[in-house]
Amino acid sequence: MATNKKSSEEDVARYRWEVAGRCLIAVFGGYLFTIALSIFLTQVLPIAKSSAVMTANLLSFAIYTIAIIWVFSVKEFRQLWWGLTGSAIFFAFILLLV
Amino acid sequence: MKNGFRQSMAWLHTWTGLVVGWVLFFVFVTGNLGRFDTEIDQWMKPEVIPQAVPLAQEISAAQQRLTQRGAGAERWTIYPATNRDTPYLRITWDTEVKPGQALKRGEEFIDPSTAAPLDTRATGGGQLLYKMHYALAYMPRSVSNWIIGICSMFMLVAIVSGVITHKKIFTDFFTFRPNKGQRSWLDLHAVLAVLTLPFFFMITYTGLLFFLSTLVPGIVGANYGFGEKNRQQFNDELAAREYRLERAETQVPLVSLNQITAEAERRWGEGQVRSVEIHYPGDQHAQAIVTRQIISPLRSTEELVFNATNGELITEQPATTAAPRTFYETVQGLHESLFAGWWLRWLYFFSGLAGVAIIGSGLILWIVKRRPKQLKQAEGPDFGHRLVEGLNVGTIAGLHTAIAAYFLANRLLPVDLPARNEWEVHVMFIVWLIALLHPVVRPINRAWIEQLWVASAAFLLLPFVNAITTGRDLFQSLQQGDWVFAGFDLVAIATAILFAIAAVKLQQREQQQINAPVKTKVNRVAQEANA
Repeated sequence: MATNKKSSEEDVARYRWEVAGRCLIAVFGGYLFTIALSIFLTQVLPIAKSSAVMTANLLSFAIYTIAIIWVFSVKEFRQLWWGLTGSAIFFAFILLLV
Repeated sequence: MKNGFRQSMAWLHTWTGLVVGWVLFFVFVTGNLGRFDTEIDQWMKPEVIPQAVPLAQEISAAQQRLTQRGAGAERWTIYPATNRDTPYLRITWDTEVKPGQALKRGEEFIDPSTAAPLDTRATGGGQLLYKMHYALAYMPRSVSNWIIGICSMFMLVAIVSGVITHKKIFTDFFTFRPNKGQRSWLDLHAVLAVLTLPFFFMITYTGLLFFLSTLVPGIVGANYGFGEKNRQQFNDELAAREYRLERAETQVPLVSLNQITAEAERRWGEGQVRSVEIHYPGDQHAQAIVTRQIISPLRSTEELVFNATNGELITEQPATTAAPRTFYETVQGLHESLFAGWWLRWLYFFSGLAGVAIIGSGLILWIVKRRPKQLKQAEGPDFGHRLVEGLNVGTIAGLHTAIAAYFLANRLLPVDLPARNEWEVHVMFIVWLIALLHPVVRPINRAWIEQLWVASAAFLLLPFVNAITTGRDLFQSLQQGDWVFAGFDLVAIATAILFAIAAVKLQQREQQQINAPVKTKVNRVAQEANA
């Protein structure tokens, strides 16, 4: 999988595309997931609305970090599609909710 | 992604750190100087020495000046010189340009005896240097907010993935192996990072929180709607500010603000007034909000809200409100360190220096790790490798020279030069640009040595140029107990010495590599490169 000496040029090219893909999924997919989960929190936390929004604000960068770490820690690239699709559905659900 | 979790995280740490390393280096250096922003302000305005003046005189002068300058503004703010953050009486006024958009701010330092602007050379001062750490230069805030926000997010990912990579966090706490090339750089990077991890993490996370409205506006937006006005509504609701009024659109003159600050001092004690904010000055619904001095990380303080047309107290706001807001205001206060006394302020400064060293050593480590392989290549190092090397020299040494040049420009540019304060900044960035280009035309080792010497010389020049141009030399400053000027000179000299030591070390290593027979791997690689 990684660039060992025996890997052919094709493997290197695929590795590079995968890295680029992971970067895009981490940045944009991770962001989508972060916003969706944060807004979800503002809706379900049993505290005053402004407090819930501030709590979600405070947590958002931690959520984003965890999402990014996850994207780069998953072994098989294909698994990421599940995360991305799930995030998109979650985001759409949140848009309907608010 | 790689074969194991830790390997993946090491990869992530390396690349997130590298991509934004130089911007972060700039942010850390300028932000760290911001711990002494108002002291640098005083150094850069040597004509005016802060004087203690009765609060009433300051407030009267400020009100007089704001009546002229801030007519029709949405908001005035007066910062009397009652604490370290405000060596000179300062006023700001915020005017609406377009409905719904951010207000445009005007700002002046005022001489309380004349109610005229402070008579001093035009300079950005330490404030501008400090502002660069979140607003950069030569660009609108709408752009810099994104750049700094994204770089900070990269840094947060780099910190977390770095910690995951680091399996022996306790052992490495006590491990430093000097003079061992790559091993030493890695030890330095890790030891400092482990030592200052709480500080480093706090600064990064809270730094990000300053950009909430830029980076994640959707969270507030989904609940309150987007835009300045809705955000204000959210903030008021969170802080339980129920006294806010809309404009009455009827003109009623302001009461003498002295009356209001006198009442605040009667309640809180002398010297406790930090700022006075006037909403809709001249309107029937004008309100004056007096804030108290900050004495703890919690940067929101008690507030007294007055009717600014008759001076009657409307309400008292407590410093703490809803828990999430109190938490937010406390961690943001930790970032800003406005509460910090001298000892803590210096601890902040040295922690920040450690941050600078972590980023710098990380950038160098990237090169040191790849250099042997790169030097073996028949066609020489790759473009990317040389780019990183050049940016390292031009930033780690060159940025410091540029900052010294900013200070030198303050002393040497003619006082009547038009747009003088802007030229101070131009000088800084021209010098930095030259420093970034210099490694293109010089072999990398020579570029390092030369730039380290130049940085050392630039900082050593500062005390001399200051003594000649102001007459306030180090010995006089020490005798008079003028710690702002003495401190500046001493830090400049210490910086010069540090750069000189680094230059000498590099020169010695260069000599060893030329003279010594092939013994170590590093030498062998260097010799191959020379051959």
